[in-house]
Amino acid sequence: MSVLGRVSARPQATAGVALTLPVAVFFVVFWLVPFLAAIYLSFTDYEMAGTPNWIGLANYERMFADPGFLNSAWITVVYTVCTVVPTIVLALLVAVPLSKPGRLNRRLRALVMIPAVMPLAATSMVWVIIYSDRGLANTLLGLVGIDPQSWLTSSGLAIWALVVMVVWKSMGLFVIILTAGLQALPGEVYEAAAIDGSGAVTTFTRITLPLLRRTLLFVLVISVAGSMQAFVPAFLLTGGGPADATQVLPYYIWSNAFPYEHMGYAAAMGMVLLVAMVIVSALQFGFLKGGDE
Amino acid sequence: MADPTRRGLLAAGALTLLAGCGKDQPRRQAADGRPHGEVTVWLHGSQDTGPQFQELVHRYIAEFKVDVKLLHLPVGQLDAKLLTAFSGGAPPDVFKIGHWSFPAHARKKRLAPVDTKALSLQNYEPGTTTPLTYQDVPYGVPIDFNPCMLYYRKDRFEEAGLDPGKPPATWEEVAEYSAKLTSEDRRRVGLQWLYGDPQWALMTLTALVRGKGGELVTAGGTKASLSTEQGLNALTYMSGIGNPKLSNPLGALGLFYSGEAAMVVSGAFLGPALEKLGKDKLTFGKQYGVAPMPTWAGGPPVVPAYTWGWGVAKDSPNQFTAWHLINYLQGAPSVAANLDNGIIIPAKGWRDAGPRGRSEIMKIVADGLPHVDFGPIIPGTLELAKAAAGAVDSVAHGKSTPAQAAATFDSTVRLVL
Repeated sequence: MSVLGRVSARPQATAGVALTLPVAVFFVVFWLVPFLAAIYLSFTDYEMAGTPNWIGLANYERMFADPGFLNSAWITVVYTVCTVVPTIVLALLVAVPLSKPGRLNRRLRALVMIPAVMPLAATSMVWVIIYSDRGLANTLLGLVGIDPQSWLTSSGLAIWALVVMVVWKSMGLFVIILTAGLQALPGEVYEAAAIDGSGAVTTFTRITLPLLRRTLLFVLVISVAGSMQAFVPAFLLTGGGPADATQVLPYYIWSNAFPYEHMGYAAAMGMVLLVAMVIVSALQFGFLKGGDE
Repeated sequence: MADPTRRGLLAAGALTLLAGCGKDQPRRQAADGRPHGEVTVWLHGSQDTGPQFQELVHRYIAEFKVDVKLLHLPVGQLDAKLLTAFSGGAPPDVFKIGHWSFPAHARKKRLAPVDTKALSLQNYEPGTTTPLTYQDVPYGVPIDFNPCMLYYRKDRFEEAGLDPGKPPATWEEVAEYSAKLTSEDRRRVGLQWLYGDPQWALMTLTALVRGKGGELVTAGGTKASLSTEQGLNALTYMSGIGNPKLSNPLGALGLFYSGEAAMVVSGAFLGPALEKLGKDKLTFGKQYGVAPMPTWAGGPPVVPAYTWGWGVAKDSPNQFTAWHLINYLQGAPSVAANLDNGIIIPAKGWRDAGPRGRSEIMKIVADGLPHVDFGPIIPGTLELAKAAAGAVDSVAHGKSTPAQAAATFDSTVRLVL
């Protein structure tokens, strides 16, 4: 490097540091410090008053004796599986025809995004009305001769009512992502398959799905992570009830942290949820990463 | 002295700005027995008493030259905001919270004891400040005091062939009447419990368990159990009455209004609320009536109750003025205005504050006062109530047997006592 180069590199480096400093400070203050504080709190008895006392693994041991935690963990598993699988399958089924060019498809793609862009608070209120005794859901059941159901007050039905709302709400975004993925697939592969006489189903399973693996992995990871962290739908639609039937783990963590002020215990449950999410994400990457090339 | 440099001036300016962003200087305590300065008040309140309350505050400001800053919050948000304020070290001087929140805040040393120089507890009916007292120290005074009673639909009683002038007096009769009032498809029921509501679940269990001589929590607040003969009996009894799948935007009270529920347990506020919902549809004495809280046959009267209360923050720099303001807000004009809306401030002589004080509902309240039971006054009341609702609801929904639900309750509560 020339002398001139060394001289000009220094102000550049200073400018680089100055420009990245605000982001670095933001990251440290709003991400790293709270994260480290949460790890520390999970080993304390902190209750939003006084000083935290170190209690070792007591919060983690408490989880296994806490029926509320075990119930919420199981509900989170059910909720995650039952929202992620139908959302992705339905989104893929809708995305395949919508990925074809055409003015009508462009408009339909815009329409499927409507639920995704509506505020969750507003859509939850709409679904409360849909699920009410004389709401749309029971009216539709009545048309086919089925008795009205207590969607939000029956402990057996409430979780499914929640799942349907979440699938409806989140499907649009995944349709758009998968449509983009489908449109980026090389056309010549499909032309070759057509020349070889490949049918629609064979083309979809042997060509489209393998080529779409990277997009599917992205959709799967963000949808699983989103479902495992979901708090707002249960909070707004069912309040965790009836009989704790929709009390997902993030809701249980929140109720321990704020109304009950068991901040240390809530932090410990948050850490367990984080570890579970990391493990699940790693498994998904391992399962779907092969065959990219 | 060195000349001030531009950098030095900038630093001084920044420090001044930062100092300005900090807490206010501590306000002066009233040493002369007169209120001073500024008081912040956080509360929720009904639209009915809002204007009267505002007027009272304005009169206080004019009379005592105290700056009162009011913040009205939705009832569901007040606790969370207050908790954040306590954690941040900036609570309001005065706040209105449920009696169930007092023990936890008191244990965490967030509350100031009642300043008897500013407010006399002797002005209140005996026992009504008990739920706001923790370890023998009074921390608040009651407003919106609600002993429970039984509301029943006379029209539904007539339809079912029951005497509308003879409401059930015992829990055994409630079960018997409920069976007659419940339709085959269970869309219309006799007594409907307030499912999913922790505080109401705790109050109902308290009435049923204590009425049989049992205890949900031991006197020291160190042990709780529902796996007792009385606890299992209460859960079994509750599961045989009502229908948890019925829904209404106004909950069980809405079901009572619509006639789907023929009986509900509620407080004195329900009468005026029903009047406002539909005067023509539901008139007291015609379509519905009230009765004292049922007891077990031969058992002692137990009247479950709850109350909201005024509290003052321990960190308030103006505690005397805060209690002085509360005392003013609990005065005779307020007692009368609240009573007119069915809201009770249990100051001595409250029944004479207005015509509604002589009503049948208020007579039941007054007769029930010696038997009011606020349940366990312990710091873990919120968790206890949530566990109670979990037990009641899981049995009602058929998810658990009474024994299983009681065991879950015991496991949950053991962790928080």
